[in-house]
Amino acid sequence: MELQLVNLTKEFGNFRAVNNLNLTISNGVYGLLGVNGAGKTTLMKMICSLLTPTSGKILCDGQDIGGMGGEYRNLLGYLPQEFGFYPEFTVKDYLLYIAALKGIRPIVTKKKANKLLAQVGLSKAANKKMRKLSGGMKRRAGIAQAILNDPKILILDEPTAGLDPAERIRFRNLISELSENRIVILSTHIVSDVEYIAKDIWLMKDGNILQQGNLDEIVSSMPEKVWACQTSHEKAAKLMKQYKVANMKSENGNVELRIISDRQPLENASLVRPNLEDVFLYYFGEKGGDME
Amino acid sequence: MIRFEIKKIFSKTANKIGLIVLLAALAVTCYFAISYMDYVDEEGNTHTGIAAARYLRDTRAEWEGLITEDVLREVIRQNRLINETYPYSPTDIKTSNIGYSKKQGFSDIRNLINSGFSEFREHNYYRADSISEDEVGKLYDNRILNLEKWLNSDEAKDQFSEKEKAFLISQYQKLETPFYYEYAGGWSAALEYAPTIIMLTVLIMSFFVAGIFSNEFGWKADSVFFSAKYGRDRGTFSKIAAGLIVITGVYWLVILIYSAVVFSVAGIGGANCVIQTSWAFWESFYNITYLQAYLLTVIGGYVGALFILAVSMLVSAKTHTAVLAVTIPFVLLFIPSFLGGFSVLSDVLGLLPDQLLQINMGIKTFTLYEIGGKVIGSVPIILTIYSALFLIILPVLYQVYRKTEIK
Repeated sequence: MELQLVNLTKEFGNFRAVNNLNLTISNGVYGLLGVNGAGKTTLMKMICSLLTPTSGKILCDGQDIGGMGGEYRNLLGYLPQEFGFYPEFTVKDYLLYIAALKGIRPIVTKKKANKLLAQVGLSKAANKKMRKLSGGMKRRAGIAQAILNDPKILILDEPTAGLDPAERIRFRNLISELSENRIVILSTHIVSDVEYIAKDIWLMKDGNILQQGNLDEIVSSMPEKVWACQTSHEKAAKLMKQYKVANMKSENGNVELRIISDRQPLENASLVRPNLEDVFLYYFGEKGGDME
Repeated sequence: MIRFEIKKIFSKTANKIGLIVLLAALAVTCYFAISYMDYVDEEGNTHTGIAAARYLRDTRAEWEGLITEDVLREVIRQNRLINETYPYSPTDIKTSNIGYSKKQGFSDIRNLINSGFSEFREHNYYRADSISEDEVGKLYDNRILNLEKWLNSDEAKDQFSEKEKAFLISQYQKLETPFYYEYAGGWSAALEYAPTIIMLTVLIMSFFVAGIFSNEFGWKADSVFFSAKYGRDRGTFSKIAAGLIVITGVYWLVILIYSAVVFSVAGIGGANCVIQTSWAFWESFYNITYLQAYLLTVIGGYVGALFILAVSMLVSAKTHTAVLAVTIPFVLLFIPSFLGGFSVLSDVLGLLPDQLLQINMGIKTFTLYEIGGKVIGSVPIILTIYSALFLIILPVLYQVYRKTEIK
């Protein structure tokens, strides 16, 4: 399975949300990182055939998805950022309905729905109405519907939002399992999710892919260095104005700082290995905290 | 998929309330229809409802048969005798009521005489009291003569073309006489209140169907729906099918219950009598029976419901909001009432979809159109136009929804 984005552009009036993207995507997990308004959701919606590109095209194994219709959508599983549902449906009814929409035969659906409910930890809530589920449970139901048809292309927008740490780990492992023979595109707030499971990371800003590569490539793409140092609260306040500070931790009356800078910010500052959060902060600056 | 779409509709609290309101409206309308018939007993007391229907049926059964000249004479003779025995007095209501009670058996025929011997488009209730046995035989001829006279009057002479006038006269002449009479109180009552329940049903159903397409957006379930294999074809089709099933199911269930209640109380006798045996339809140029008139009314209501609610669904699919979609039936049904005062619009008003929901009124009016040199009444035209428009809307609705983009 291969997806190709060819000169892909989407404009809303005068605003260019996605700018002339060219990417080739094969099986594996792709982590999409960017601040709000970077164009991530627009890109994912185009890949899900929910939006038509203004120009350019998306090819699926060489075929334009615009002409594939249901044949292409049959390959898709999508969990949108704003995952909506039918409030009066039970979880089981919801999955049965989505299964029908996905063209899964009823005889297969029931078995599959039960298996998935167990997989996402919703077996006991199968007959609960969707509106009565907690935020995390709704998210898990969303994940279940996305993988219901065993999709070859799985698009996940904020899949772990609202999940507790244990659920997140379980879900991360589930994605890793699923990624073996399919394309998974993952957009998340949680940088560590991408760090752990993505084979390729895309940093997206203003409709463009700024950087693309595996974790090492992305980290080494950052031209500046990362420093760790300890200092007083007063000094720390000054340093925060001068440098990009990736982390700050109070300890024994002092402050431990993680600073991104080309030059050594303090005498006692030592070089440390950069991580993805540092890279994110470097490329997206102050808006890094508003990650989608 | 259709089952789930229907489940979505009726799982909404607002729609559950709508169903309860519809049932309440149905009960009230049935009550009014049943109370429509009243019977005055020999002591001058008035009865309504089930008992009245039974008494009226029994009393009028004696007059069942062809309304020949002999029957008309007998009506005039008995009417005169009763008037002499129980003279009308504004101060002695009891005696007047007893007199009316004695006339009840033939009061339908007496009303025809009133209409036939009054001016066209008038109904003088006391006219039969001044008609002699010799002249009452002109009843059927008078119907045609009155029409001809009216068509040449100042009021109507410019209202119709010569072709239209000829059409009306020909329709009157075609009506077979003498009429066959049978008590048809059940049909009269059912026809009288059918538009009320049809309109209420359409208005309430607009709440059911308005959300079928737009709720996906309101619930934010649109992305998953449209990215699924069948979202843009079978999924969309199942929404349309669910809408049509709900419209059809609810409409005919309401009509079935309404008809069953009214006819079980008032009887189905008179089904094959021409509607002109009722003074209310005496002037109609539609030569049809009560059964045909009722079928036309309920089928017209169904076509109207399909068209109006399909427009509502289309608006819902296009605008992604149920609010505007719900207002469509209200606009289509009530705007014509406001425009009714403009005589220049009368030709157009006769073709608006609200007319479909009140065909029992349409068959009383002289709304005519000339198409390809042929004169046709408004009823067959609106039935054809809106059936065709409904069939056109369906593929448009399908295309509009399936091409939705999720921004």
